[in-house]
Order: sequence, then C-alpha cells, then structure tokens
Amino acid sequence: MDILHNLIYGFSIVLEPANISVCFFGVLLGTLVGILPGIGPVGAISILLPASFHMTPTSAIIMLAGIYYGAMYGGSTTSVLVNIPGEAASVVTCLDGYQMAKKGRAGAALGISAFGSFIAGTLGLIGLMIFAAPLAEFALDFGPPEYFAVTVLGLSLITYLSQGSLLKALIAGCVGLLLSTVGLDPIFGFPRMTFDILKLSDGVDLVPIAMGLFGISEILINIEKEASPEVLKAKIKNLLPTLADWIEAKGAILRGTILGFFLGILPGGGAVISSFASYGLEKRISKTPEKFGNGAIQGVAGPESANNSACAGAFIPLFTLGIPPNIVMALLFGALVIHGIRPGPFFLKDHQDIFWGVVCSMYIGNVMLLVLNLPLIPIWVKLLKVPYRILFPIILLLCIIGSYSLNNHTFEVKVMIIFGIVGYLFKKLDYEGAPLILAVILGPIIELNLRQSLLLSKGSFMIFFSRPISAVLLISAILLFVSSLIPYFAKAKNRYDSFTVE
Amino acid sequence: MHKSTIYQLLGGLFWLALSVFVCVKSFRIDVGTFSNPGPGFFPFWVGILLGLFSLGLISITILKKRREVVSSGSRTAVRWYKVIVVLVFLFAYSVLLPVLGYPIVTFGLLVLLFSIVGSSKLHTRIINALIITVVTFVIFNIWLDVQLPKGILDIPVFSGMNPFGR
Repeated sequence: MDILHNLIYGFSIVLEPANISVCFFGVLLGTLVGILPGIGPVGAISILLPASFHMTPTSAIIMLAGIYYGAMYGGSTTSVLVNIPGEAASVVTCLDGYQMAKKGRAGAALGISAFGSFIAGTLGLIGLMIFAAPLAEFALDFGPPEYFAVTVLGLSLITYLSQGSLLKALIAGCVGLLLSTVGLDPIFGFPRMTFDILKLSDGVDLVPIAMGLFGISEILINIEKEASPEVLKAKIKNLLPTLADWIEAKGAILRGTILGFFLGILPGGGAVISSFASYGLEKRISKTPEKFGNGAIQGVAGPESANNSACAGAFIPLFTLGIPPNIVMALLFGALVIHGIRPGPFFLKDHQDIFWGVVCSMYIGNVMLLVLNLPLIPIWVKLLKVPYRILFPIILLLCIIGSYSLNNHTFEVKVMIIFGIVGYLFKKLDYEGAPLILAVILGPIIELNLRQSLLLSKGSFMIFFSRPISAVLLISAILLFVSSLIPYFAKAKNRYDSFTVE
Repeated sequence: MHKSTIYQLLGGLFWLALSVFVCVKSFRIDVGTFSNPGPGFFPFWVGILLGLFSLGLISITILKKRREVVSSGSRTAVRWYKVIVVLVFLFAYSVLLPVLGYPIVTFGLLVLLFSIVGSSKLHTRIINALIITVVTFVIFNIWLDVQLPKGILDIPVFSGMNPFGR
C-alpha cells in the first residue's frame, strides 16, 4: 500500500505542466542524441546541465534522466538502419539488427527493440521501487571498507568491459585512476600533479574527458576515412513484430531485463556492459548460436531490453548509496549536488518528491518513447540522411559548448581536445576508453575509502575481510577478475600443447 | 618488425615512463605508510600497477610471432593530415574564443571545417556556417543561458536582450 501511495504522490508531481514538459523534452532529445552518432547522452546531458540549474531539482533530474533512457531507445535506430551505433549501448544491436534490415526485416528489428525497451524499462522501474528502500536501509551499515569493496567490484568489471586486450583495459583503468588523483588530496588538501596550473587544483572534469575520448575521437576517425555511413535504402514496413517474432524474442526480453537491471546496479555496470552481457548470454544458451551475427532476433531483443532496464537499476546505487555507477549517473549526481542535495542512505526519506517524481516520470517517459520511436521512424530516417559533412561540425560545436559551459572557461575545451587526441590514439592502438572513464568516476571513492579504512585498521588489510559485506564483495571482485583470465590461460595451454606435440 | 608492433611497443614504453614519473612524483609528496597513508600513497601504488601492466604489454608484444591486424578499416583511404588540420583549428578556436567571442570564432571555424570535408561552394559554406552560428547562439546563449563569450561583439544587442522574457 505504501508503494501505491507513493506512486500516486509521484504521479501528482510529474503531471504538473512544468515536469511533464521537461519529461517530453528530455525523452525527445534523448531519442535524437541516441540516433545521431557522435553525440551520446553524456554529451547531451553535459550541455544541458547549466540549463537545469534554473529548474527545480525534480524537473532537472526528470529531464536529464529522460535524455539517458531516451538515448537507449534512439540508439537502436541507427544501429539497425546504418550499422553505426547511435550510442555505446547499441553497439551490439548492429551485429544482428543490421543483418535483419538487410533481409528486409528492419521493421521487425526496430519494433522488437522499441517494445523490448518499453517492457524492460517498465519492469526495471518496478525493480527500482521494490529494491531502493531496502537497499537504503542496508546502506546505513556501509562504512569505508564496504564502500571501498563495492567500488573495487565495479572496477573489476573492467575485465568484462574490455572487448580486446585485457592488459590494455587494465592500463586504461590505471590511467583513469591516476587522472582522478589530479588536484587536491581529499584528506590533507595537498596539491597533486597540478604542475602549478591553478585550474588543475579542482582536478580534471569528467565531462570534457568523456566528450573528448568518445565524441571528438569519433569525429576525428570519421574525418580520416573516405567512406561515409550509408543509410539502408529499403522501405521500412511492418513495425509491429509478428507472433512468431514475439515467441522467439520473449525469453530474450525477460532475461535481458533481469540481467540488465542487476548489472545496472553494480558500479561500473550500466547500459553498455548490460547489452554486451545479454548478447553473450543469448548466444550461449541459444539452440542455434550460428544464427547470431546473421539476423537473430534474440540478438536485438536481449541487448535492447538489457540496456533499458540497466538505466532503471543504475538509479539505485546513486540514490541509496550516493555512488554514481556510471558516467551519466555521475552527471546526475553533480546536478543534485549543485541543487544542494546529497544522494545517499537518507535520500529516499528526505527527498521523496524527487525519488517518486523521477520514478513516475520514467513510466510516462517510456510510453512517450514508444510513440516517438515507432510511428515517427520515417522522420528519424530522414535525419540520418543529413550528410555527415553537415552533421559533424554541428556535433563538434555541441561538444565545445558542452565543455565550455561547465565553468564558462576555455580550459575545459582544451582538456576535451587533448582527450580527443588521446581517444583517437586509443582507437588506432586498440585501447578502450570505457575502462578509463569508469576509473575516473570511481577513483576518488576508492582512494578516500581505502585510506580511511587503513587509518581505522592501523594499516591492516584484514579490515576488508573481517567485515562480512566487504569480504563478500571483495572476494566476488577477485573471482570476477580471475574468471576473466581463464580464456587467456586456456589459449596459452593450447599453444603449449601444440608446441609439445610438434 | 611490423609497423603496428612498433606502435604497440612505443605505447607500452610510454606507459612505463608514465608509471616511473608518477611513482617519483608521488614519493616526493609523501607516500606515507600503510597505517598512515599520505597524499602520494594512492598514485604511487597505482603507478606501480601501471608499470607492471606496461611491462607485461611490452613482453607480450615482443613475444608475439604473428603480425598484428590493423584495427582501423584497412580498405578505406586514410587522411590523417585532415585530422591534424582539424586539431589545429580546434586549438586555435579555444585560444581565440574569449578574445574574439563566440559568433566570430564559431563562424570562422565552421567555414574552415566545411572546407575540410569538401562541402560544395564557398557561398554555401558561408551560409551554412552563418545559420548554424546564429541558431546555436540563440539557443544556448539566450534561451538556455549558457554564458558564451561575445568578445569584441559585446554590445547591448547581444547581451541582456532575451526574447523569451527571462
């Protein structure tokens, strides 16, 4: 009954004209940035962050959250029609979605993406409502060792985030951790790696790093190549999936929803890793794994469901622990702090209007997105046909404005350009940016809680293993890391065996 | 040795050098002890980890017998010089932005960027650049209140006037 009362309260907040308008604006913009390659929800949210200062905290988070989950819907459109992911969480959708489109089944792919996203988004919200309050209570038992352990668990997901070399992912993670130490030491206030540059005393801002690493570098790579992305010319018809499509996809949608939700809760999890994990799971359990990569509908339904339910799950650590599990949540965290609100175990009690307002706005937002993403697809397709030579300067300009608007200073623009070069070199040398960004987000939390824990235990690392919650979390992190090394050892063993046979 | 292997090795050596630099810097600002970690504690140990991983990468790169696959589309033409030109423009933009102001510098940048990607005629590039500059200025500076610098155009018509009544 409590949940029902809270839902009624939440809907009364979100149905205010200002809030419903910003919800619509957020999901519309989210769909747009999801569709357009080169600018993702991170770029859009960072550009609109200053605009949100003039709103109430509830309206601000409703709008910014709308951009986040809206982008998950929009990203699948470009993946299916152009074979270019509109944003990172839709990378996997390219594998089978585009193949379905080539076989004349673009409508089915887009339809099942939209419906799967809607179902997963709705179920994810139910999970958010059910789990948030108990976890907030649970979080009251968290001390520095537990915070350290949960963020190390998140960091260990780097091993799963990496699609290429594990060593390179770990190196990128270390670089991210080092970047997070630039500025004033959190305990003594001592300047570190500032090189006497005053602007570096506040550290290196996350947003220009992300925009440079992902946005600018993508533009540079596209400028370098001759080829422009080609939009599929076939007519899109039959956006409603058939009964056979539903039967094939229903399991993938449900599995993707559950997997995505729980991965979204973990620091370091989120929409990107959820979509990859879901794809891997569907391929592994499928009776016809050879169909994956050739237009298997489960390869679209699972990941698209996972990335949407992960959006809902990601709010749980943000609101209950005050730990942003991914970069988008870090920006929302920043937006809340600017409004004088500190997320954490007392957030649900002290700011019920924000929590329930955001939850209910996501229900309404999901309905809006279903409408935006199905009947309006022909309009979005026209957008994709805008030549890249017109699009890329606009995207570049938006990134520049986004970086500049953080502090009204060109320092952040220069940082963005530098990380654009870093991102470009990363792509050329097969490094990945995601581990670096994750480490930049989690680094300050890890360092502060590690040092506080060691101070409490007078230097003994047993403090992490003598407390049950941190022990479980750390052992899970170790097991996760070790399990990711298994394929490497297996490969080395095979090589040794073939060598000895010769 | 294949070119890509050389680049990978250089990358590994760069990370190794960075780890040494970080460790030395951290040591100078006081690493402290495990019972009383100093400001340099965390970067020092992360630097050590970075050094170990980069040594691992260098070793694996040297030991690998197969040629590495070039990751970026080998069949498409590569125009790296355009990348350098764009980067120079962007840096110049960031330096000139506070001096000349958003409208002028953005207009100039857009005209140059459109030339880079082979947009058709000069007047088309100029018109497109003008439209985008004006539209983005109106949306961000006036509507969304982002304080874009006006530079030498800091006159009343560009500041203080807000058609949306804020």
